[in-house]
Amino acid sequence: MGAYIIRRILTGLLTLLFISFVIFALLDLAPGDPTANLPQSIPQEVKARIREALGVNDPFLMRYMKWGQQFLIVEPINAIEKTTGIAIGDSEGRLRITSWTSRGKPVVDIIIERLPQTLYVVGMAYLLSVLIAVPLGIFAGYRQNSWFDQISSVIAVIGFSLPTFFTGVLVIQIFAVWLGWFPTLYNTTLRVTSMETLFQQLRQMIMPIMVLAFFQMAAISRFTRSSVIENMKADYVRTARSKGLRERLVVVRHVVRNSLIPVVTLVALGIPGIFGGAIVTEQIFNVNGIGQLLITSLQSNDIPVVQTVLMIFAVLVVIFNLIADILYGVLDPRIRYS
Amino acid sequence: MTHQGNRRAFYVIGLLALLALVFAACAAPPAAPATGGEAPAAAAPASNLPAEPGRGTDGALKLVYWQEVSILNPYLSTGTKDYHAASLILESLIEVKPDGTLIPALAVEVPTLENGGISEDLTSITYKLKPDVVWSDGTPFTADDVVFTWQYCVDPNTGCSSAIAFTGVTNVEAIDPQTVKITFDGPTPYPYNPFGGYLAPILQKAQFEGCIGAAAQGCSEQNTNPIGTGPYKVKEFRANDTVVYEINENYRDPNKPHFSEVTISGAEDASASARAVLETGEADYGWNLQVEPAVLSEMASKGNGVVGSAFSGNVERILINFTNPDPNLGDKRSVWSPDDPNPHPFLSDPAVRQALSMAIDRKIIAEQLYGAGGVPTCNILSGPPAVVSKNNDACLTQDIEGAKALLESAGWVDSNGDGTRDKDGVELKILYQTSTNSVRQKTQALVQQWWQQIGVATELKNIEAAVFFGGDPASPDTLGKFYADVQMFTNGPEGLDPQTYLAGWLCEIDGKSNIASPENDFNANNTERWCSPEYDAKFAELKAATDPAERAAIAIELNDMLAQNYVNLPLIFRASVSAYANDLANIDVNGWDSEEWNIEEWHRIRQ
Repeated sequence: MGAYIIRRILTGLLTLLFISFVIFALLDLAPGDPTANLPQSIPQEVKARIREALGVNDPFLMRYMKWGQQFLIVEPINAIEKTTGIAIGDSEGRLRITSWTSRGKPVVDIIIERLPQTLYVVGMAYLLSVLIAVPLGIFAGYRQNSWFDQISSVIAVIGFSLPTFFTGVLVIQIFAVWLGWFPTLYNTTLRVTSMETLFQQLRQMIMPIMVLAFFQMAAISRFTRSSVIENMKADYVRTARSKGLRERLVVVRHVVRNSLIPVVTLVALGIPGIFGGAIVTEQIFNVNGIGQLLITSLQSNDIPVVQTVLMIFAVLVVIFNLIADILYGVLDPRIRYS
Repeated sequence: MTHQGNRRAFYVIGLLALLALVFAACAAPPAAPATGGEAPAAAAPASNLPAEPGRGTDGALKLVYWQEVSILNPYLSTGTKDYHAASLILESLIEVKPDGTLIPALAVEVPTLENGGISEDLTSITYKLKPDVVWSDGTPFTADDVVFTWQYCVDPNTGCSSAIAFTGVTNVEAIDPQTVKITFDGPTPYPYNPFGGYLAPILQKAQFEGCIGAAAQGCSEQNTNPIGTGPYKVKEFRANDTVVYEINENYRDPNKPHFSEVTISGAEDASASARAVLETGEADYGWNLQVEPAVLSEMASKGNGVVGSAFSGNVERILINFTNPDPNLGDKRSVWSPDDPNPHPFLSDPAVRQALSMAIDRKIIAEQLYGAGGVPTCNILSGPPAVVSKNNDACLTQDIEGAKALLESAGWVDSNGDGTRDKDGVELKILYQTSTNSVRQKTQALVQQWWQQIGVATELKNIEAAVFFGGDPASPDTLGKFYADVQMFTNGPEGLDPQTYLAGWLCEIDGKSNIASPENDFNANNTERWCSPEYDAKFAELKAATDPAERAAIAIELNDMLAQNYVNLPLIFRASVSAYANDLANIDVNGWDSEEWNIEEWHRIRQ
């Protein structure tokens, strides 16, 4: 197991190196200009000077090496300094990765500013969808073809096939415009300090969570259901039943436990997606989290932000893949890595 | 049956578990960290307001900007929104009112020839600064700050977005702590660009001293929390998200501003902003609402707010390519040079250009696609009112038959029966490009249909705005390269004086070619590649003229040369559309300055 993990970590690092290069090269090849949003009346030579100041025109390899050094050395050192309060070397003189649109603002600081919104909204939605979808899937699978199964199938298909940009707008129109229950503008500066602000926070989170959870629930519940159906037919279930075990024990101890093995993997693999945010949903509900940061940075050609966000996302995907594989081995004694 | 019993038990347990989980999940979010700071005060209900507005009496004000604010240092801005957001904090020496008149802000008065503020030879302007003005940190505002601001912006390594404000300035000096003298490289009839309006407000020297040149990019704290002399200062700044302002206690008018807190928050897009102001009433003010007129008036009919338009000089136009964009030309594609003008196969014929203009129904475009956002125009110079020509208004009426007759008489007939007119084997087939934007794509579709009616085939193309408006020399799709027959976008004069704007059609400036070509990376401003010695000569007259009436007359002549040669086809005189809540007083939407130019005057209406 130890050797396996070490091998996986090494290949993971190589993968990340490759990903970082691909991201950098793709963004470099893509056309675009950070000064394109300035008014047309600003002369081209002024824009050229701004691009010069941002370092847009530096050679590709130089920018890649510089960014790599900042991402791997400067930012981690800075993070350590911030958390421990110990100054390491010349902390003022180190150049951090800075945004092009918010000139001078370190990208990592922007990400940290936005992480809470994403974690609350996208994370809560994910948690909620898992908590609802798993029991739903188990019961639907256990009672395959019952009315409950039929209804939950219909709901799942709807949830799966309706994109969030449609349900989002629909929900806003119904609950915010017609009924006036929830706000359409998400207030990121709200601090929960009292029951009243807590209520406000819940109110502004409900719509995006509803929409996201509905969408994610569908996939997980379908997956759980098919896994349960498969296990219900397994020989060990018949053995358990013929031993005279009570039905509840058969389901809980044998069917559910075995059915959840692949579900756990699926859920673990979905976790990096929480940090990546939900681009469409965050944008529609104005939840200024990571997903919204990514899309606005792409639109305004803020390359350092895009690179850094995508890279952090890639790191999380690699880590959670590893965790999922290890979990798989722990949960399923039949699987042994050697 | 025991099986039945089991089933029920399982069902009940399952349901309970589900409920418990849902409850637990709903109860979890309190995890939100209580990291200090109070919740923003809710807007004070109108009934609780004192009879007269005083400082901070009117509670919180919420503005919504769907283009989120990125930075509060206007000199490093990457969009108009940043200039607006900074204008609550930083002030210029003079401001521009919506009607185009100048009023003093940090200056005692607007310098003129009459009051001696402008030198007789028009090469310098001297400002007296208001005494006893202090920065929000309590230190005095002096002429040194003004001088520093100029030095900050003109340092080539700063990458200053407002450099246009200091064109022609050779020196800014402090005569004494309350007097600033700006010297120009020659007679400057309109000397108010430096430190006038929202493009070039004054930065505090003490705060930005270490941020000049290359260091500018690293000054995160300064760029997001500038110290200013304006009515507000930053309370919280979240890049590309939300800015919260609080009152600058050191603001010079003890009775103002009336709102105790101002928030600028983001929204998904223009219609989400309009919705927040006009439908749900969550925000008090929304900026840049380019929403379809039908949708906007439907929202406005709810009665929560008002829609206002601010005109300056922006004109949506179709630019004509005077060079040949044929891809087979290789390096010569869309390239003009003095020895080889590389003329366009059919757009070099004035009759074709005129016919294209006549076929367009500008009124339909304005009504259906712009609404409050624009009116039809035939002039590339449509504002301020003093410089607008009345000689070209015939184009406001569509004339399909006239266009057809014009093409006939110029020899353009459909000789091969393929539906498009041709002459000497040249077909009237146009590639029409613009940026990706729903209003522009709808305009394209309308124009395509009209041109079809006069026998001109049009292929439409739209390009992502960041590419089209960008200056990437490697991209074939920038507006500078102009690899199409016609293209469409908006431009206008940056201030009240049209000289810089009209320079955009010069053939050469100071001996250097002003026509977009490989030698300037396609970055020069004459994208039409139209070169006319008469225009250049007339422009020289404008430069030399000092009398405002004479200057306006010459500007109109220049505009008419462009219009009557059909160098471009002006379509819509565009306004910035804003919406604001019914109970806001003193809103005066401004096209020439920041929309928040008079925010210290804003208050809620008393019942």
